[in-house]
Amino acid sequence: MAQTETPSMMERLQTIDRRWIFLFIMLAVVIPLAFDLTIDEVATPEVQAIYDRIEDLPPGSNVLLPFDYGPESEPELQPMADSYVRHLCRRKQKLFFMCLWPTGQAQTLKTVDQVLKREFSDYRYGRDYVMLGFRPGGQGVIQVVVTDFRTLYQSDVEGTPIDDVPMMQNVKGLKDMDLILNISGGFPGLKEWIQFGGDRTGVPVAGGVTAVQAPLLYPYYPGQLSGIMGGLKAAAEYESLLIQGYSEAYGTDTERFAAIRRMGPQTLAHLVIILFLVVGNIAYFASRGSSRERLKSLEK
Amino acid sequence: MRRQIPLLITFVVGVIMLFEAFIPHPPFDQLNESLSITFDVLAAFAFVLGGGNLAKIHLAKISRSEPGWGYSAVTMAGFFAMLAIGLFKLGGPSGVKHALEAEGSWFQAAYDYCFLPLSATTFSLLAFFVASASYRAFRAKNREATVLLIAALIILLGRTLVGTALTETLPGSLELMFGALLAYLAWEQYRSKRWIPLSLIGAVAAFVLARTLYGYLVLAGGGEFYLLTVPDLVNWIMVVPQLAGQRAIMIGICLGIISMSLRLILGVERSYLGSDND
Repeated sequence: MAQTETPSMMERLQTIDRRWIFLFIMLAVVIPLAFDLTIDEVATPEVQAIYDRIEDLPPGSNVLLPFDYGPESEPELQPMADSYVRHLCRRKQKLFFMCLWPTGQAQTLKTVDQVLKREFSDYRYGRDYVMLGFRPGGQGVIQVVVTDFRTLYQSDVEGTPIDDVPMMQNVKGLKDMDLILNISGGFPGLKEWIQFGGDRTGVPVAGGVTAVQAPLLYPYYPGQLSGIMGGLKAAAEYESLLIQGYSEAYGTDTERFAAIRRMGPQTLAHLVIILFLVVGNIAYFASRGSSRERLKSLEK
Repeated sequence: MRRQIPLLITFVVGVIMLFEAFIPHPPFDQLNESLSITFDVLAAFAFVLGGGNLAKIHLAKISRSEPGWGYSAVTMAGFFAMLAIGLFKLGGPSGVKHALEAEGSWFQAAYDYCFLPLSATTFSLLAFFVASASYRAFRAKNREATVLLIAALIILLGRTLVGTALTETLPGSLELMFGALLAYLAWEQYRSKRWIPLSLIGAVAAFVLARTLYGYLVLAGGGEFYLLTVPDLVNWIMVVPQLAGQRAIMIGICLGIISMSLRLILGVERSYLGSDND
């Protein structure tokens, strides 16, 4: 009867029950949240470029904010949306919200309710900001609003005729915008805003995307894309810039900055993954070495 | 005629759109806008088509009591509930003119308390599966896998502050690792008796290691004697090799799109018309 060999420690490590990995990831996420571990970030040039672009805009500039994402990418993208609105409101810009995703309107409303209305009570709907809402058609919508918003947007989300909205009086098409600041979780998103919006009108485009999408957009930076923010880390970098730039308003208050707070769990989760990768490879090489030795002894 | 007319429409529309890109003046720009509006109208109808198709598939599954029909029942309940809430704007201010997201509207409540947490929960599970999958898949089984593994580790480190901290607390650590990797590669060349690659790789390895050791011993770790930092390395990976790969893929895709568009406009590609038997 053949004797069954008990697998070595290294071999067992290679086929570790995935529930152990799940447990470690869960702890890596829960512990920093429980102890409120926050990390300050240093801005990369791509993120700094967006911050500088907004700083350079004269007050009262028209900024289009297409929020093209949904709840699935909210943890990464909502902090970006909040930061953009905070920064733009501090600079007294006029905000035009719209979306190419059906879920985008609800996400817009979240930022408007939780940031704009709470922190900038002097901002008035129709005078300082307007919500145009969702229209189906993806990049087709961009193609149309290039020349005229009114073709697709006869009214805003509240049902007010677009011509009755004071801040829409001097706005016809995309060319009347000074900056397009998109936040995107997929298609249609930042890439379409560059190709069909920015390139056709010459209006600068910048924006934030999920970490997975960011590498796909690097070819457009810095030529067609003024700046790019990829994932939670970039959002945290932007929040750090805001805290530094507007220290009189924010000081060391990190409570309202979600990305900085979420970087703790992300950092620890990444470290756990790195640890598992290292352990997995050590186990792989060690068990490969031992199986070679076993093969040699059998040959002898 | 059933084939000629669609081919003619495709040709005319394709040529108009093509000309518009080069002649952004009337009447071409207006034609482009009109066609874009037509596309947006069709896109709106696609929602009806998509909803109808969804209902057809799931209702058929429920009526036949196929395995898993319970899931279909839940899908349909959610679908029709959201449809009714959205169409009749239930719960919000009276009248149908108010926004779907108006205060008190059931639509916004369903979004906030059902769709949002369910969607976020499903997506957050990815973190666990990615961790498990990367543990099993990221093995340095061959040269290509090793390069991928090293790049992944650097990016992972760079996506956290650990990368910066590593350079600050252990300056020169990256050079040491890089030097060790090169030394290993040089050793492999020595074993294979490939003298030219050995001398090249060996020289670089010796330079990197000697420079780092000089920094530690002579400068006693003081001063910026190191060349590499994790954030710099991450940035380099993103804007040089990654970007080169992305550009190559993008150019390839664009050439493919141009070729396919020409085939469609000229009527060479006819598969979108369906088969002759239809």
